[in-house]
Amino acid sequence: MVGLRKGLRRTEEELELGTTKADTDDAHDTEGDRDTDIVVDDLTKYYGDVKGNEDVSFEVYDGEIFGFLGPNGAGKSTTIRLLLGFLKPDSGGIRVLGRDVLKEDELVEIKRGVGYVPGEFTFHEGLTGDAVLDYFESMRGGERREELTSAFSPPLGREIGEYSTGNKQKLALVQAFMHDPDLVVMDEPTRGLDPLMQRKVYDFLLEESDDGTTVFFSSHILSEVEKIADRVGVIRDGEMAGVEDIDEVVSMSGKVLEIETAETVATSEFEIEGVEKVETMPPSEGGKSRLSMVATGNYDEVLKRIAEHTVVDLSVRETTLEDLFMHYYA
Amino acid sequence: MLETARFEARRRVKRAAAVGVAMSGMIALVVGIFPSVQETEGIEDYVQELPESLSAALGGEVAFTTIEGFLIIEIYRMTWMLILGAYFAYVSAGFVAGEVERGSIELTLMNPVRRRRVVLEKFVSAVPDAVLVSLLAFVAVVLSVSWIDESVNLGNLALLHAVGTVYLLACVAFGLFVSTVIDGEQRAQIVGFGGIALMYILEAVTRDTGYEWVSLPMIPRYFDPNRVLIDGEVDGTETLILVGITVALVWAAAVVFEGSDIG
Repeated sequence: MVGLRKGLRRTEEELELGTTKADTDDAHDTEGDRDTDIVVDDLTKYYGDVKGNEDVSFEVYDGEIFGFLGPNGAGKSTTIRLLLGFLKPDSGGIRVLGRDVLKEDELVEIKRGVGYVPGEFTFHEGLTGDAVLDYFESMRGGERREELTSAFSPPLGREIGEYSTGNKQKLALVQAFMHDPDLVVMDEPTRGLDPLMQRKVYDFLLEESDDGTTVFFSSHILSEVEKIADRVGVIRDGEMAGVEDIDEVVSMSGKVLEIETAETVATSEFEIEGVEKVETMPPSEGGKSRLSMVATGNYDEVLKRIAEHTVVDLSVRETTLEDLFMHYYA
Repeated sequence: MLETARFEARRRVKRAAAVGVAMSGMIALVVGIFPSVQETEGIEDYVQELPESLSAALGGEVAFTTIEGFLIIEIYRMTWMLILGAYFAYVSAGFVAGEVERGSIELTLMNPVRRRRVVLEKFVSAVPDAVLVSLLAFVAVVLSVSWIDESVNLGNLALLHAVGTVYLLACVAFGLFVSTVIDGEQRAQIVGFGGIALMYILEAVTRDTGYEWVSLPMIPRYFDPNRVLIDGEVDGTETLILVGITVALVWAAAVVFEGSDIG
């Protein structure tokens, strides 16, 4: 099922990413008694009067790619910082790899099995990439260091203060994976990367996930999450809006079409399979009616129906997170 | 074991060496003017006639025209206790506050290590700095004193540098504690530097007055270069208190840091 869905959904460019875990692994449809790598239970964190997280709960299963989706300022980084023990929650519990994050002794053990890619890679700028990796290796091991440095080839001999965003991210990935962790937590791992590098990262994550590594990553970009995640947690205003299988999210997303016609068109004309949320809007280009709709397939039929009218204006774009909120989580 | 301490110490070794060299240069310069100070008529009377609090700040009851007294006033009090002490607190006040401000603390803490251990190792990483500066200064004093054909008791001098190193580490512990309670590297460093300077001044102006109790919790009270260099005597109780303050401050820094939010 998942494989078929992804096959249908993926554009040519996305297909170039290669085989994905979702193509071959249907286990994600059968939840229930699966091992959990992250259990977040009613987590609440306020910064004074400002809400960071409130009653956030979700689970991340062993071996899956979990996308943590939310607009900027929704509380994604707060959750990640709580997960890794940087922040202390006001209430609620967090277990990672079967251990309690809130107990310092257990947190030490957790970190042996966790890798972290921060939102922005910052470390002592005067050090070379090699010196940074030497230090981390001395603390937690680096059995995959060479393999990863040759795959990503960051300029290890140069000081990291001179690194570009892309090179910093390469180094961040190397340090996050070099001790062969069971779980990798990433805060917007593709922020500031060019499309080529973004794809390389997606590709890499899918491969790692194939090899059994659990990946938790945050993002504010719906299409990115759709490309690689198995399940998606949606957060807004510090609270969970839902946790969905990627199929669900995909069925909610698609292309947002807006058409304006010279004559009046009823919404019922577009209430066909593959088209949802058909709504009328005030005309803005001198036509008589303007419709917006979310098309998740059946494009041929949609276009044919549009062609029956005199089209004054037309726009097509990918669904964004904002559309998802507007249509499904309102 | 001690990976973080080694890592931090290596990062700072050049700067510590530079401080040691600068300190040595200053020692040579100051000792170099001693013969002319000695020949200046009336300087001893001048020093004796200074207001009591000022002469206490300078070094108390020492003879400015003996090499020991001169070293104590010019080097060990003004430079070592005040400037070097404040500098060490300034540097260590950046240890935690700086990493938190820049965000590098996150990657440091992703290593399998307790937060309190990171604090402890950061303190340990300053030990080589203090020892290096102390050693270089020791050599500088010995060489420059013999260069002007004077002499000091080498045993006493070595003892002074040993206790002086403990004093510097107490200042490091103070800065480290400040580093965990004050947000922002620059603010923490100002408080670290200013804190030691203020303690030094308060201790000096309240010494031998009815307000001596004011300096009870203050680091400079427990290091007295005069008696070590001139008499070769180390007050064991005072030194123990110095060590005790150091341990307490490092422990407090560790506790504060374990309980605090980062980011």
